[in-house]
Formats: sequence, C-alpha cells, structure tokens
Amino acid sequence: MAHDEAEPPAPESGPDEILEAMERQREAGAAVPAEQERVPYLGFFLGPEVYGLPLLQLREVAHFTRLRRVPGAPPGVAGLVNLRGEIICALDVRTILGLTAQAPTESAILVALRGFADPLGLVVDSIADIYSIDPGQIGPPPATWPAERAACFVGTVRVREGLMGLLDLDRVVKI
Amino acid sequence: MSSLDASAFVGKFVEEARDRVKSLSGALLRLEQAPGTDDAMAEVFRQAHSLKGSALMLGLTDMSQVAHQLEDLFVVAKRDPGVLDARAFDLLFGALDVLSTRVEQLARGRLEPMDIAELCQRLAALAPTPEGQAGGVVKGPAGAPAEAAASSPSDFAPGGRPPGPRQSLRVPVEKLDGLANLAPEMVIQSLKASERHDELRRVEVALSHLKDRVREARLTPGAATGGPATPLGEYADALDSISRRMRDLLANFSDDRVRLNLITEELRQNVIELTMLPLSTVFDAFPRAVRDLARSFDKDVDLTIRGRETELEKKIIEQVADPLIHLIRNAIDHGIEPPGERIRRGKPAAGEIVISAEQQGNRILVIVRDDGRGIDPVELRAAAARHGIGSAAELERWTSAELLELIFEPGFSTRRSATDVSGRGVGMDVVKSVVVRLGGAVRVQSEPDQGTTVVLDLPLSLALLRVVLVEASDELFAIPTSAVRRILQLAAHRIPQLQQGPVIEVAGESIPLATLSGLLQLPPTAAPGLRQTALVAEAGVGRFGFLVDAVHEEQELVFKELRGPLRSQRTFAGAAILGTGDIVPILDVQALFALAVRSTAVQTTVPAAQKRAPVRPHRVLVVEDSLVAGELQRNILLAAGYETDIAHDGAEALDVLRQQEWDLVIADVDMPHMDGFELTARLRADERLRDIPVIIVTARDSIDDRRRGFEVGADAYVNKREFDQIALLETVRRLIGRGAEPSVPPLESPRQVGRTGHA
Repeated sequence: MAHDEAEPPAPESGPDEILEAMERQREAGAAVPAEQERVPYLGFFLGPEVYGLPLLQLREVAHFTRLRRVPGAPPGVAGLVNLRGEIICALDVRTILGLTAQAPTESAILVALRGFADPLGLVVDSIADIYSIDPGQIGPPPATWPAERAACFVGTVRVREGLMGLLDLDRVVKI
Repeated sequence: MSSLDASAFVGKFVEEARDRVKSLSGALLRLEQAPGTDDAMAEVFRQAHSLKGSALMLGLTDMSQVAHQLEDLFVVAKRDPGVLDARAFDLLFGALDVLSTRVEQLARGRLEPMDIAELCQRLAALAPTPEGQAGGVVKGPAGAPAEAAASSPSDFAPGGRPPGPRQSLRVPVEKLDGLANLAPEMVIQSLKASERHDELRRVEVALSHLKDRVREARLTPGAATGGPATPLGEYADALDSISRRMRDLLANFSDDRVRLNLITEELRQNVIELTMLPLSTVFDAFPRAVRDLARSFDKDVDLTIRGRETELEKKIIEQVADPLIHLIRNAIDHGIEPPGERIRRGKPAAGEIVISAEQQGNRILVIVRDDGRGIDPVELRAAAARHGIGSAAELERWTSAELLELIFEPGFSTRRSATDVSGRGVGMDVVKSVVVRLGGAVRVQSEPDQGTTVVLDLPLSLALLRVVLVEASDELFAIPTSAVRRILQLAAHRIPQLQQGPVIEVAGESIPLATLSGLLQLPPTAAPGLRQTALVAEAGVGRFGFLVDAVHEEQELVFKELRGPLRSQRTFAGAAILGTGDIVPILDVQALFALAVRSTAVQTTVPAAQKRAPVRPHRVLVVEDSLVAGELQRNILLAAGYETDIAHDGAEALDVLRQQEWDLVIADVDMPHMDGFELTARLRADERLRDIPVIIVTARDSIDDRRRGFEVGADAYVNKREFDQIALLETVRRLIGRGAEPSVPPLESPRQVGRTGHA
C-alpha cells in the first residue's frame, strides 16, 4: 500500500477538532460557492493507510465508549454502539475490505453515517483530515488491489498522507 | 354557549348542514353560469350565514370559519362582482367539498376539527376587506345572533380556544422514535451529574478541612509568618463564606439532580404514551359485528363493552383486532345457544357477550366472556381420543384445564368441526400464536352450560419489555420474562448426561439442557462455580433449559430492533440500552431453541445398540400441599432416579393411587381435605393399595404423632425439620430399593419468575 512518508496524525486531532474543522469547511464552502466543484471528503486511518468518504455521507464522528459484540453476527459487523441513546450497528471496515483483522483499540473512533435507512457506522483507528477533492483527480484503484477489495472503492486520490482510497459506501454497507 | 351539550344536536345539525351545503352548491352553479344574479348571491350569503351561526353554536369553529369566509367574500362580491372569477369559483366549490366532507365526518361521530387554515387564507385573499381588517368585523345582516357575531373574531385569532373535545396531530413514527431515544440519554446524563455531585462533595470536604486549618493557624499565637494576624483572619472569613456557598450549591445541585431524574422518568413515560391508543379504536366496531354475526347465526345477543378507554400501544391494538373478532365469532357461533334452546335451559333468550379490558400493572387483560353452552370436557376427551392424543384411561386423568388447553392445538378442533357442529375453538391456535408473538398469553375457562371466558393477557407496550438479565462468558444478555418458566440452581458436578445430551427434569418432564455460551459459541467461562443456574424457557414448540453463569435482576427495558446487516440474524430479537448506557442484546427464545435442538441433534446420532434397555423406574407419589416442599422432595427423588408426581392432599392422592400403579407414598401430615394419617389409614383399609409402603414426612415431632403414624400403618417417619435428602433417600431405598440410573440433578429452591404460571 502506498503510504509514502505520511505523517502520523497528531494524537490531539480528536473528533471535536475534526468537527470544528468540518464546520469551518462547510462555512467556507458556503462562502465560496462551487469554485472548482471540489468535493469535501473525510479522511480516516486504518493502520497506516488513509481512506476517505464523502463528507455528505458523514453524520457524526464520535469516540465510542463501549462496543457490544453480537454473537453470531456477520463478520463485517463489529458490534453495537450506543450513540446518545440510539443503537448504531458499527461495521468492521477492516474485515469488509479484507485487511488483516484487528480488534478495535481503546482510541477507536466511530464514524456514523448518514443517508442509509438503518443507523450505521464505521469503526476506524483515527481521523486524518478533511480534504477538498477535485473529482478530476480521482483515479482508479491500483491494479494491485484484489478485485473484491477494489470493488469497495469509487477510486483513489493522492493526498499528503498517501494514496487515499475513496470508499463506495453503498458497497461497503452491503455485507 | 360552550356549556351547551352540543353532541345532542349534532344529528340535527348534520341534516341541516347537508341541506345548506346543497343549496349553496346550487346557488353557486347558477352564479357561475349567470354572474351577478342577485338572488343567487343573496342565497349564498343567507345559507353561509345560517351555517356559520349553527356551526358556532355547536362549537364547530372550523366550519363556522369557512362559512364566515364565504359570507365575507359575498359581501365584497355584492359591490364588486368582478372578484368572482373562474379561479374564485374553483376555490368556492372546493370550500363546499370541505364543508360536506366535514359534515359526513360529523355524521360518523368524528368531532375533531379539520385543518382549514389554508383554505380560509385563500378565501380571504379573494376578498380583501376594504377596512383592511380581514375577518375583523362581521358584517352580518341585522338580527344575526349576537353571540355568534361576538365570538367570531376570536375564531380567527391563531391559537384561539380549541374547538371540540380534543385536537390531534399526525406525527411520523420516526420523530417519536427520535424523542424516545433522547430519554435514555437524559438518564445517562443525570448519572453523570451524580458523579459530579460526588466530586463536588469531596471538594467541599477538602475546603472545610482547609478552613479548619486556617482557623487553627489563626488561633495559634505567632504561628503565622510573623506578620499581623489580620490577613489570616480575613482569609478565614473568606473561606468560611466560600464554604457556606459551596454547601448551599451542593444542596441545590442535589435537589436539581433529583428533580432532573423525576422529569427524565416522566418524559420517558410520556414518550411511551405517545404511541398508545384507546381500545375503543377496535372495540367500537364490535357492536356492529356482533349484530351482523348474531343475525347470520340466528341468535339473540346482548353485547356489553367495558374499558374501551384502556390504552395500549398502537401496534398491539392493530394486531389484536382480528383475534378478538375471531373470539366473538366463536362465542356467537359455538357458545351462545339458539333462543329456543336457551329458554328450555332456563336462560334468557338473548345470550350475553361481555368484552372488557382492564389494566393490571404493565399488563392489559382483554376478556371475552359469553354465557353460552361452554366447552364440555367430556366432548374434549372424546375428540382428544379421536385425535389419538392419549388413551381413554390417560385422558380420564386430565383435568378440565388441561383438556381446555387442547383447543389451542393446531388442527385439534378444525378436524373435529367437520363432524361436530359444536367444534369450538376453530382457529384458536391462530389466536394464541398472534398473542404469544406479542409477548402475551391466552387463558380459557369454561363451565358446561355456564359459558366460556377467554382472557388475552397482553403487554401494555411492545416498546417496553420485561426481561431477565443473565450473564454468560462475562457478557449480559436479556431474555423476555414471558418466555422464562423457571430459574433453577443446579449442582454443577451432577448434571446428568443422557445419550442425547444433558437434561434436567422439571415437573415430570425431561428438558434438554444446553449452555448459553455454548449455543452462542462464546468462549466458555473459565471456572464454572459449583452451582450453576439454569433457566427453563418456553418456546412455542417446547421447553428447554440453558445454563448461564449468573442471573441478574429482572428489568423493564425499551425494546429496539436490530437493524442494518443484523436484520438477517435470528438469535436476537432486538437490543436495549441499560441505565448504565451499556447495550444488551435480547435473545429470541425460539431461535435459541432451534440452536439447542441443532446442537443436541449432533449427539443423538449415537447408535441405538448403545442405548440402555429401559427399566421401569420405581414410582413414588409425593403427597404435599406446600408447593415448595413438594417440589423439593420431587426433585430429590427425580435426581435419585425415581419417577414421581405430586398430589396436593390425601383425597387427590387416593384418586391418583387408584388410577395408576405406585410403589411408594411419601405423605405430609397437615393437609386440607384429608391429612396424611387418614390417607395412610385408608390405604391400609384398601385391598388393592394396602401393600404400598408409606413414609410420613412432617414438621410435627411429638412422640404421640410418631406413634399415631405407625398405628395407622406408616412404614417410616421422617422429620421435616432435620430434613435432608440423604435420610429421605435412604428410607426410600430401604423400602423399595434403588432408583433407576440417576438421570437428574438435585434441584434446589426452585422458584417461579414473574407472572409465569405453574410449569
């Protein structure tokens, strides 16, 4: 995987900071209307690799206190998370993407999604940044990726942290 | 005006309003064809005005507002017929449609007002009043009712006095769910506030210590840094006042917290109530249904309905309507006799059906009772024999209650109804399955010639679920209380392994046993205790037991379904959030049963040759009126390999002993109807029964009692107070020999859970 000399994310960049940044981004976006048709993406880390999803499909970024495992659940389901009284089905993106399985760490973050009929979220290691992506720069997934995995992406784009895989969430949540 | 009982006049008003709307419609049509026709204009004005007056008197402000707008429009139109263009006519006919819809609603008894704000606005836009006070002054002709005129302006004030009995609002369920989700969050938040409260208290204590130190320092001469004592005094005073404020703050905070908790709980309750409807929404259809059914079966039926205001969650009400209609049909078709037959039996010609609903705790009982011919146990027995459910002799021993349960067996009565007109209980299995799916239960009572009562025992809400929390592999799981029959403590080292897997014996039934962590494929608990806890669950088709590491308390939880990719799994029916914020999955007992069957199926593939030839075990009858003592003895005997049953007094014991073969009787002394001494004496006097050994077990320990026991012919005497199973079993062995292969563990302190009945 291409991860260049990606700087590890500053440990302080917690959800709150990200949310603030998102807010600024939104305001900025509103102030400069459709300058280059750039699309904002949220970047997050799974291990050293950075992945992205459209900010429009993001509902919330939250530290989760407890992940409740569900015996007999499909392998792509990490468990259930209580997000302010709502039970979110947290997906194990690692497993879905066929990466080496790894139990969520203490500092794992829930990326709650919007736009789906059911309350869903992704378990990620940490948040990278918000990127404004020019759709013209999105390339296909590298030929080296297994087809099954490549199918979960709309494409890739190079960012400061490395080659960012842009998730096709509709595919990812269909497990 | 508002004190007038409007409902009595609604019928009259409906008739009047229908006519007026019709006249309005005719006049408008004439006007449309010949604009400016004066008499048509006057007719519209007159009809609208009268309609407004009557509607106002009945408090039907929505109608009066529309009529008022029509009236206003025609005041303007009289001066300027140009306002009545094609668009205006469309709107006017639309307004008439609204009025006529409203009248028909009234005719059906619906009093809730309609939303007419938009219509009124559009009508008002057609005719801006010259004074610029839209609807401000009613320019009615002389003689308009003063009250009507006086009260009309307020009708236009937004948020004015609500008309009719009550207003309602349609809200999407998702919004309510959103609200429901916030309530538990508030609970969690207030838990956090409690922690803060404790922190604050610690700070207060520290502050108070500091204050004391400063005070001491001040009183110790020369202890201060050599400076004058005054600043120290000031500090002490300042600390004093901070300390006081801190205490006040704590007290207030504590009050706030308590209040917050109360409000949170109330909010939670209110949110749940939002999804409730009164049973009248289904009950009110019954008078008509009963009338039609009675006619089609040529019966006379009086229907009484009680408790129609009882509220239940909408989802339950919707599903319970069909089963209720089914019960009513059964009552009329099979229960209530034809009038002639009723008179011959000395009953009133008209049969009576009473449908009632009442709340009991968090359950709702919906009861359908008739005074018809009832269900005859003799007929049930005959039908059961025809269906091969049991031999005639076996069925003879069934109690009426047990026989009545048969009507819930799928196919039991449908086949019967082909040959028998009184095939009661057609489709009762369907009724039962609907109710059970809702987490409820069905009970039936019947006396021949007296009638039948069917009780639907329903939960108040599907959202609220009573569960037993259990622990397996260090995780909590919830099991609906309605599915739990018993909770038993078992000695771990003595859970018997039959060929088809471990079992427990409960109420004379061998129940397969599995571990919950095994079924869920969780890592087994490191060190199971000496004693394990088993839950006996009922899952429609059967019972099974599963071992858990611990049973926690019973709780009421807000049920949430599992969504997303978890929709497809069956093991869990849903999940809930505990007060701590933790999520607990709720087990689906049916699915768990399927898992248990599958796991034991693997073990039933043992070659038949290996199976032990069955030996008839010795049969011991325990005669005991106390449930706990009886259960205890039975469990001890079962564990030792004896077959056993309980009779609840001497008289019942004599019956049972005469009907079946028994090897030993263990009898209590103090029992209703016939005590243990008398039972023993009667056995000794009975030619067929005199050789059955009798052990007397009692709390009495006087020499006289002991002597009397032996005088009447008891073979042994065991004291309840020093009751231990070894002594009992030794006595039993001495009298009739060993039990069969030990097949069951000793059970201790069996206890019932919740409202579940006798297992």
